[in-house]
Amino acid sequence: MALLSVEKITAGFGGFRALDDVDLKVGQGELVGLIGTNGAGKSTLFSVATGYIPASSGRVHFAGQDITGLAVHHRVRRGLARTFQVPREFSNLTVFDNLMTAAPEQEGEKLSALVFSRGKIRQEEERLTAKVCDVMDFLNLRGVEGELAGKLSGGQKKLLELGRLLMLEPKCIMLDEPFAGVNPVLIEQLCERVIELNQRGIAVLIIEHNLAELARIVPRLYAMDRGRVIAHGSPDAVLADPAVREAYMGGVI
Amino acid sequence: MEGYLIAIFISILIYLLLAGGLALQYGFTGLVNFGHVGFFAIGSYTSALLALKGVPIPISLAAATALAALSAYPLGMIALRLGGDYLAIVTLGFSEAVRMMLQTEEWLTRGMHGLPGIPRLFAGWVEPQKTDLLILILLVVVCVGVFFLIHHIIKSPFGRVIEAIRDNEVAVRALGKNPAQFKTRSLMLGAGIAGLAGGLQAHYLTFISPEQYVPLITFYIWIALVLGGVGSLRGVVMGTVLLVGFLEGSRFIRDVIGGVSEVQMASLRIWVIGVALICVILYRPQGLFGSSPKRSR
Repeated sequence: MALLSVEKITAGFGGFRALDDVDLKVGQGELVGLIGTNGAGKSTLFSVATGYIPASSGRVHFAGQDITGLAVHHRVRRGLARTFQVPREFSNLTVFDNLMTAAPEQEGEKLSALVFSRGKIRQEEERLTAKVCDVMDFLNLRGVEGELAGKLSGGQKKLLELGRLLMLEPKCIMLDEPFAGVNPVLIEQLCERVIELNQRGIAVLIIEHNLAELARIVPRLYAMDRGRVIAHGSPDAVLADPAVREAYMGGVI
Repeated sequence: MEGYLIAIFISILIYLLLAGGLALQYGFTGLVNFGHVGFFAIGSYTSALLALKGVPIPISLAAATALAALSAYPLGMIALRLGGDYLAIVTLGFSEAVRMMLQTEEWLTRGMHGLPGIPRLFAGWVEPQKTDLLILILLVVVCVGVFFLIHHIIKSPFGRVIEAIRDNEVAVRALGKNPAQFKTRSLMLGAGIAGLAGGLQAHYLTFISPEQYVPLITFYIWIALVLGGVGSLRGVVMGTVLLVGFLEGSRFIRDVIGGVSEVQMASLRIWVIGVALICVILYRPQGLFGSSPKRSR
């Protein structure tokens, strides 16, 4: 039984079909890659699965339930979280506060609690601070915890986004080009972290153009082209698939 | 002279309350509210009408705060699902609709004739000339209280979320939070504060009429925020003190230097504000007193 299952999804903008009858499954605790040329529909698929863009037909199931009609925040609360191709940090908040904000269901987010349960909020803040510290240690963000997130390097912003997801304790994370624009040393580090998260039982779906890096870490791969899934299976099989080679490299290799 | 200074300070403090409400909405949540004066007007008329019916002033002020906040709720539900620019137009339209209603619903508001004889704060407590000083003291207390409250709110987990919404709303949704809920609350809080300011002003002036609630008031507050800096409460306070102090105080300058007519002075005033605004935007876009908006732990 798949954790995330996208079934016969079609979506488009105006007359353009960005996704055409797409099927994709991510099992419990699985690590899956998604490749495709620019404009293949990968990010759109992410947006449809997470609720940012409505599907014109097809269903999305998560953890055994149909979530097709749910709003973004309701899907996240069920454990389906994502990052963005271009990092969306809270630029005027510190790294620490970015992570604190991410914690779900905080008592202190209620205005009434600010008046009536201040002690409870203080305890909660202490508990979350400890959790944020764990996440910062895990992602090596300790040195920049007091920096404004807007001032971080591109790679650090990607780490921070991953950190915010971890605060949510998700069941499945969808990473949109986590290695793009990141220096090779940091890519190594990110890769290790993603693998470690996956070993902890979090399912991961990664969009990535860095095929070598991706093929190294994922056991299973989907390839998309022009809104359709054109191949899926082991990285070797997918990368050797004629349709994939045609789409990706114009058949030159 | 002393009475004049008190009047200037009262004016500054009322604007300060308005600016505090807008700072919460725009500076910390990123809501472009161009209709702040509408909530101010609702507060003024609510408190004035109730007090004229014999309701004690503290209760009428509470009702003014509550009604102004409530009036922001439907506005929030409609507009906060839209992007920022739409909210700007919707709120501007809202404040003008409020003003038109005050003009036309004569059975309730006496229309353009205005409402005279609104009970004054502290009337009967001391001799009439001294009430101004008491009102000033009350306003200082209210302002300190309201700014303390705003400070407390923006340093709380709720404040963290509204600032996150200001920075990147899409990412807030990606964290499983519903931005519309937080934005509605922020809009209501700011509107409530504006309503309280309106009520206090009505019980100070004792006469209100629809033409006091023109959009220019909203934009004066915006100018104060831009001058002082939107991302910090210190900037908001300093911007408001400078702007309103200048607007009100320049009348006094005319008496001293002489040779300038009232009309010339009015034009000069607008000219100076315009130049100041341009200079601030060019050379100090974060505002005169706007520090980096970094949150302290």
